Amino acid sequence: MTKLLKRPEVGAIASLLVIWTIFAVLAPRFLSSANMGNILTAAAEMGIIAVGMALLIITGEFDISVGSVFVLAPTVMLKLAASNGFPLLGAFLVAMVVAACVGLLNGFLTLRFGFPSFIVTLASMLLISGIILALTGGFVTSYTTKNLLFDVLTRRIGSFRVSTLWMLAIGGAMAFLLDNTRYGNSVYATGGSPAVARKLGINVHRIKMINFVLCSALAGFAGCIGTARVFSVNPTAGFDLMFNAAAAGFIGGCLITGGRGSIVGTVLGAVLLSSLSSGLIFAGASPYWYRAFVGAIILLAVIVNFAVTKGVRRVA
Amino acid sequence: MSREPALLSARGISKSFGGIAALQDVSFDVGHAEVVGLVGDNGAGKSTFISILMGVVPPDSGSIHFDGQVARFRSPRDAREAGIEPVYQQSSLVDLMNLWRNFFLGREITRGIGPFRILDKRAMKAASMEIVREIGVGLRAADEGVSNLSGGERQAICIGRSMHFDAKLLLLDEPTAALSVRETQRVLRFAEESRERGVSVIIVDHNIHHIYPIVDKFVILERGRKLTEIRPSDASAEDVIKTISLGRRFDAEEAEE
Repeated sequence: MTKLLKRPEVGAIASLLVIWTIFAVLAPRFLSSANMGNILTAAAEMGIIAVGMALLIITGEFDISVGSVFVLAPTVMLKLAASNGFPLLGAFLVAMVVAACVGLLNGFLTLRFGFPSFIVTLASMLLISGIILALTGGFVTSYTTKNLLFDVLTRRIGSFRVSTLWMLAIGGAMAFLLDNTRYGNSVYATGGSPAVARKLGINVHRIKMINFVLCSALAGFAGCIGTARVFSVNPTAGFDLMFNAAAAGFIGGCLITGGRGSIVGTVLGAVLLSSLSSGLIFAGASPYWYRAFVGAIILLAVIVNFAVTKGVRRVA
Repeated sequence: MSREPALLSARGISKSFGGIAALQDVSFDVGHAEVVGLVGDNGAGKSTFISILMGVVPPDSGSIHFDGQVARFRSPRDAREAGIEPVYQQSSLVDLMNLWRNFFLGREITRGIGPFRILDKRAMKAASMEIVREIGVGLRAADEGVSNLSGGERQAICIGRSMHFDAKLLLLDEPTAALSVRETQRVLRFAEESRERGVSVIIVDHNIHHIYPIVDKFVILERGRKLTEIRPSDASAEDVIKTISLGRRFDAEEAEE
């Protein structure tokens, strides 16, 4: 039983159940399939970013630039597709490569020179959003033709969307890899104690680099999904997503110092945050309260995480 | 025994960091089933030498023969694969990971084909529990955490790990620092038992009295150079300490004159 309680996703499951119960009592329509569809659609885009962020946090690094990559990738995709008949699928692939390259650059600067990833990615976030604003003049870029790629990314099925399946597939795959492969073991060791991991023969820099690239690529992918949903990209979007994705990771039991965290918990964290956003509206509260609640929940998650790890250490 | 080539033989090892010589022309041997105490004051170059042996940094010049082959370790993985195993109490286990994951870290047993290899958890749990029972560490399950273990128990797990992977040379860096008296004895007994199994050991320790009874020879470093080698049969622990603190060879007879 205590072993079960120490699992990092316990906090996320418990909070999600509490929040759903509260909102279901306040507003029975909260649990309607239409609303669940809305919640999961919002959760999918946030959750896919959060999975990448969680991978990076578990290795002991951080990426502030995910929000700007979330905008950069679809901007590249739509700009390319709009110009001289570039095929949309090709534009999408180029956009994904660009997103991955941002991760490569973040990782290179962090690992090669030993700069803190927090500062490196703060700089790349500003750099990228500045470039996007300059390129677009701050205007929304649109792509209004119906197409197969957008259907694959986020087609509507009843109240739900395909993007939710993408989140589940990516989250499930990463959760499986972390738990069942050498890569996963190395990720936890790299975050838990880079010095020990290095001594035992793990290429710590390579593991971190892989996760920097995955994190940016997933942020770009989530951005393309968001764009496929609304057939346009807003250059000023994405800012809040970084905070929300990080919050989802912390709710999912990720330790900012690395070495601990759950992908399942992180996905649940994203569902929890979008439930909160929707539930506040259903409960008749001003949606402006959303941020304050997210703040409170992050604090709560930190306290729970701290208590659990302190418990782990205290037995020592 | 002595006709056999040494397990490890380091010749003319030099290493500088940013123009400062950490090691200059250091040569010594570690025989089969031999316990060597690598000692010297702070800054003598002990940890640099250990880092080179572990493949963390390459030497600037000099050669290392290990187990009959020229050893050019480009990473700790190379050194471990050759049979050199670090046994550090502070830093050979990841606190946030459980026993079996720690035990097989960097050398996981996998099954599957090609890139689709997954961890064989059952095999790793069974093997790590078997060793833990053998060495008498009080863990009941292979997925228990290691953070609640004492320094001595952590070291015992590292030693058990080295046994499992058939290490030929154990590197014990400050193994008795911050250990209780009983745990210190236990670690030293492990070193002796390793020798009985034919495994060689290099111990780096400041406490000469602790390791004096179990080492076959001391290699004394002084500011990056090898000062001398001393066998406990030829000198007392006090002589070894005086040699380190004077920075030159000291023997009791000379003092009496």
